[in-house]
Amino acid sequence: MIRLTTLLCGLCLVSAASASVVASPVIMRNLQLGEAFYYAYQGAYIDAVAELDAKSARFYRLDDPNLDALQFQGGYPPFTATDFVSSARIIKNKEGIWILEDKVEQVKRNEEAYRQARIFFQNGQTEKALLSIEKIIEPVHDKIRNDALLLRAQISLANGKFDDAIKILLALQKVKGIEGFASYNLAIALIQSGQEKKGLEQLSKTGQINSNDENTLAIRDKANLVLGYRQIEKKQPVLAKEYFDRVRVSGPFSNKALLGSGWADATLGNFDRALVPWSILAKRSVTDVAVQESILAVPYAYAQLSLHGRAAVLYGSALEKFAVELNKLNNSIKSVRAGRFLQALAREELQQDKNGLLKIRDLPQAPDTYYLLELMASNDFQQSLKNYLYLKNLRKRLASWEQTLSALEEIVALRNQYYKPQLAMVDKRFRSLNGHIGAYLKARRLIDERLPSMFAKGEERVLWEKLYQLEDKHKNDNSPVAHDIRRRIKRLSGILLWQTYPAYDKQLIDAYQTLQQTNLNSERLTRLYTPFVRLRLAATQSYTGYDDQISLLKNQVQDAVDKVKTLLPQQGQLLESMAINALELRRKRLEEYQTQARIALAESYDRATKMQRGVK
Amino acid sequence: MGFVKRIVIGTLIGLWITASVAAEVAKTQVKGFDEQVQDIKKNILGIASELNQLEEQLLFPSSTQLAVFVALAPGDNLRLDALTIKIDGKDATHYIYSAKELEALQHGGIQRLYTGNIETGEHTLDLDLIGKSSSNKDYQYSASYKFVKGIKGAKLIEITLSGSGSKIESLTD
Repeated sequence: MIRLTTLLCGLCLVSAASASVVASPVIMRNLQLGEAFYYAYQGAYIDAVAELDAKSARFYRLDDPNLDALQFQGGYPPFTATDFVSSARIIKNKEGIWILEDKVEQVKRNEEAYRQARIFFQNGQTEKALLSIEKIIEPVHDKIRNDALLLRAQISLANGKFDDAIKILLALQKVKGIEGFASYNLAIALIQSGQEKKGLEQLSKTGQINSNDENTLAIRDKANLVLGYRQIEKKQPVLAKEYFDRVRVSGPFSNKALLGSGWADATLGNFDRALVPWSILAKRSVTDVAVQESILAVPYAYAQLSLHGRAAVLYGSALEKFAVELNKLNNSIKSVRAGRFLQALAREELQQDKNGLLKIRDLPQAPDTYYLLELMASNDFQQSLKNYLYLKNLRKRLASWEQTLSALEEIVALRNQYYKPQLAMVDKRFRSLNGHIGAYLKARRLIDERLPSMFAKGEERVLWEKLYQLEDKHKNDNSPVAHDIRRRIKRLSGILLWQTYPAYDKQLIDAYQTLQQTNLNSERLTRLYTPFVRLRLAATQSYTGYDDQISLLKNQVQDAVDKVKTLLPQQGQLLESMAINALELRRKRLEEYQTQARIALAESYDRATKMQRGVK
Repeated sequence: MGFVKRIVIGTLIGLWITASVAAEVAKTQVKGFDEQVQDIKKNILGIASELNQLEEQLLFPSSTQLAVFVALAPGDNLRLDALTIKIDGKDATHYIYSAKELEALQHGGIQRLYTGNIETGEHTLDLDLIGKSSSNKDYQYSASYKFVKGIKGAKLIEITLSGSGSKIESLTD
């Protein structure tokens, strides 16, 4: 029989409460963050995180982040992938914008720590789970308080800290909704810490909890079942029967309890009473372990009651049933070995439905999943399946990325081919045009500076020129002589200006009217200049500087492809071998039963015949 | 106790031992594979991010990029079935929504409906929506919007939809 501690250790049940990774309905104003949440809400976390990472990295690379769309919302630091997944750090500020908060309330940190601890614990990483759960400190939100305490107790138990676990669980026993979990785990903790008697008493208490909660009732049944089989081990069938009789007839543990109850009666020699639970059990689903045993146990009881004829008939019927089930198991094993199990697991429609795995049996040539239910529900199988599906999808994604990178490489090459010669020509013309523009603008500035002097006649112009030259010559000289010269130049300029002044106004108006048009041309040139330079830069940037980046990415993708190529079939093989092991175990058991049934059938037939002939 | 029972018990114990050993081996292998897969996941995230950036730089440079985003008004129960966008009278995209995508929008996610390249200058965006209102009646809505694409950066347009119409917000530029 299965030992008590091992049986108990297999039952570290985790509370049903769960904290979701992504927050409840939110209002997004940051487009990039909203886009990331759009993917995250559909479960496409790679896309969500990659989008955010890409935008964050781009934000950091900009020399003027004010130009970036992410920055549009106003100066908030961008998110990293970890921040995004850990939604505790994402909060909404007064303006309704979602931002990353440096100082997060302890309540939110606690929720995140609880979530992480659960995940680590479910993955068997008990030390990391302990580190996470220990981060929870007051104030703790009521919605996770008790669940966090229960989880802390379970983690302490798993890490051998029995005293800590016992202390927490003693307090949690009175909490409605988790009293069953607390009581049961307390029993485990007591037994594992060496206080077996107290632990068994606690288990007995657990087996008598009053509740309407389905989970608590299931725990109660399990506690009674464990106690019952323990009493059978200790050859205490009367006590065992008491415990088995407490288990609900319709619960998840009723089959094992009915079987145990029958064996308790059989141990006492009360085979007629043993027939009651065994007969009920023998009519249930034939794929169940306990039911299969009862199919053999019922004729055994009849044989013990000297009803050998009946026993022989029932052994015959048992053989037929076992043959059918063995056939199913053999076909299932063949189906798994032929790869149909993996194919079925990877079907898209099954992944859309949370009960999808159960629908495998409906697929043609897929293995029968009745014998694989326990395996498929186990953490190890679920984790392996998740990894297998991830790798399968990743393989497609990597193939797509390889094509994308080749296409991008080609785009860069084509642009290089197209733009380089064209840009060379454009540059040549631009340099020439730029020179003309420069000269034009210089002349235009000169006109502005020297406009008055330009109205002068030939002789006056010469004088003006001489005056400019003299002014230029002495402009940096601070000596008294130079100062006097500048004064005299000013006086002479004034005289010349006075001479040209009468016609000045009209000439100036005419000149400015003419210049207005050139001003417009000048502005137009300036307006065109900046966009041209940007476009010219954009054209160059469209094909230069990408070779190294593309090459690096191609290598990284190829590495990933190689890893997936190795890992995917290995992961698939692991899933198949887990299934085959489970099926072979059941087949071996059934074959043993079949052998025993054959022997017992012959024996019963022989005795029945002798009885008929009146031979003792 | 009978011969049958002793055999059965013996078989069960034997099978239990075999199962336990097999389970331990499987657990070790599962953990090993899981660690390798987690390593790959980290690398993949990095590659995905780099590739996203590269694609955007090459295919949709900011000087010509136009991106149209769609969101649902908070608390609105509009069931969006399909959305069509035209830019300057030409079909840009026609999108049909799955239940998952609709749920993501209803939770506050924002969908990047369209990314493309356009010239600088004035343009028109036409929107056609088909869906069902909160009272489960067929709902159709059309709207037209003018916008200007400048040279400086990508043009981002956010359309917020509700059962009573749409609100369009043009960002950047």
